[in-house]
Amino acid sequence: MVRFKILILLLFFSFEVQAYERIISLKPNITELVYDLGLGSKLVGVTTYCDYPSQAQKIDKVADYVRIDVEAIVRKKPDIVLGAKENSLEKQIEFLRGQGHKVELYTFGTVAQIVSSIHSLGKTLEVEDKANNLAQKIEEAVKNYTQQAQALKIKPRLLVVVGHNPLVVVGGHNFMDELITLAGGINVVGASSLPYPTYSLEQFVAANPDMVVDLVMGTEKETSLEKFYQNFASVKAVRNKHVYKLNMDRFRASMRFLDGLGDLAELVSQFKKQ
Amino acid sequence: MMPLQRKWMVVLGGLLFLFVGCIIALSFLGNPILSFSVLSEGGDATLKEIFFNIRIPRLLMASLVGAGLSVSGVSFQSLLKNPLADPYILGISGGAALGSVLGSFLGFSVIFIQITAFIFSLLSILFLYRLASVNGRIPVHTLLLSGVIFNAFSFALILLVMSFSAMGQAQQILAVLMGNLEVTNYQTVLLLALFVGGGFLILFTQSLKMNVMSLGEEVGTSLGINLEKHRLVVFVAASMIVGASVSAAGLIGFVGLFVPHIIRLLFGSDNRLVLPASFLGGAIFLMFCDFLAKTVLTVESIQTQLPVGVVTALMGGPFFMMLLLKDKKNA
Repeated sequence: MVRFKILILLLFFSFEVQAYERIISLKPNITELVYDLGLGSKLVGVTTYCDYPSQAQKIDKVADYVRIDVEAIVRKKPDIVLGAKENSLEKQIEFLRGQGHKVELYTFGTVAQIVSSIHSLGKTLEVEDKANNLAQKIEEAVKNYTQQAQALKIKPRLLVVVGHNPLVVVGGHNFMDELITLAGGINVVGASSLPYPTYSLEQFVAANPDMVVDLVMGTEKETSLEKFYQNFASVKAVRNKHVYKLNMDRFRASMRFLDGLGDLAELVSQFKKQ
Repeated sequence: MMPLQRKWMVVLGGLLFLFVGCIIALSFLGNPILSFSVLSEGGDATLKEIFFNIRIPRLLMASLVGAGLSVSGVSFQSLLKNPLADPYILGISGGAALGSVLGSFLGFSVIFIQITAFIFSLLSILFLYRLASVNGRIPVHTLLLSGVIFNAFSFALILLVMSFSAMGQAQQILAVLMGNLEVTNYQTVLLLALFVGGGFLILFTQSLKMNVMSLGEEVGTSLGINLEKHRLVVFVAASMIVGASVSAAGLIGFVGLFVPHIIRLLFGSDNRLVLPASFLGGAIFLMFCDFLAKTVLTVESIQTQLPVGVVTALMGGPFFMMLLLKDKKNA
């Protein structure tokens, strides 16, 4: 009888420690990581921006990029809510915690932070092995890119644009700045201590980048993009046709930033060949 | 009559001289500082492009917007008989911004966006006039209160449009709210010049009437001025200017308040002089503010530019409070 009780007790505990069944993700990159960790089927709520993998689009939306719909989250009865420290409204997070919900926040500002966040995510969700694999994949890729970049003889001076009118560019304190370096380029605005400085057109022309990578999202057509840059014929990147458009989504701080990094590194290596 | 004409010539001649000097100086100054070699045939292509395609159009744009906002400030102050009237504070710029944002949201062409902005600013001023007048007079507090409420309302509607827009478009809307004098072609400058120049000429024809009206509406009517017509002409011309300026450069505050006051302080309150002097003074003021906005933070470790509205607000905001305090003492 005692043994039986212990057995039941053990069983109870094993249920207690069993991983989470109802997960809510408050950021697109976290949604992607949850899928990569093999737990996509446990997601019960995501954001309106969670479009990858495509199954994620079918999950109910409980947040947009910054704001979260606290009511919708509570209704979902999640056993864990995953969010990012960046771009989150503290009050809402505190409210959820106050209601007794488990909320875990991670930070994704640098490659190293992504790696450590993957580790802690794996630990929390009890899929440490898978998390280790993902982290290892990133670390290996980073090592390879670093070696490739070191071998490059010509490093293009690169400008990454995230907004026109006014020109908003990637500055020094930015995840993208790290990726530019890894890809073998030199960020022309790398010395800026701001993550997203507003560049004046004079600064743009005076900086004279070898290559421009345009990440501007939204409704702008290719032709209007071309038209915009054609105004600056003296800029090397424009003159030598080194203005490229890349998809910003491929730089999300999940495993996918490796895709974006690959795109960037390819452009940089092509530049070398010419 | 002679001394007035001479004063007119001296003041406007001086301001014109200063204006031209400013354009010349500021097209060379900045980061990078340019030398006269950009004018020579074999000059550096990059520096030439900065000089001809970026700096000069931007200076012209700043002059036109500054001039436009100042003369519309003068007109509103005269017509509403209120020294605190300014297109930005009254919410007329906000109305124009709403029109411009709505126009670009609906995919209108540039000229139609400007016309939409014009219509919205005209509706704003007409509405505001109805809202703020008490028994035919416009007390300071109702005017400012109406302006505040109208601004808040327009901004809320702009945010409503923004929440329907895609991310890229939302950024464009934000640019309108922050104000930006950068242009990439001379067509925009030319179009703005037509609106501002035309509006200014119309306002100038009304300047004598503005003087008379400042003596009181009874005086004006007894001298045969058609009050309704005068009011409508001024409102239409000023709205045309505000609409075009806002849709071309976004919201830039306090220019219409700051410049006319300084001009009146220096040269008296005859509108025949105040209007053209504010035109030139506004041009100089905004060119200078924009020069600061795009230059002060270009150091290596920052490399950014400020929205020009920040600079004009830093100067105009405290000035506005000072005027309000003075107004309170007089009352």
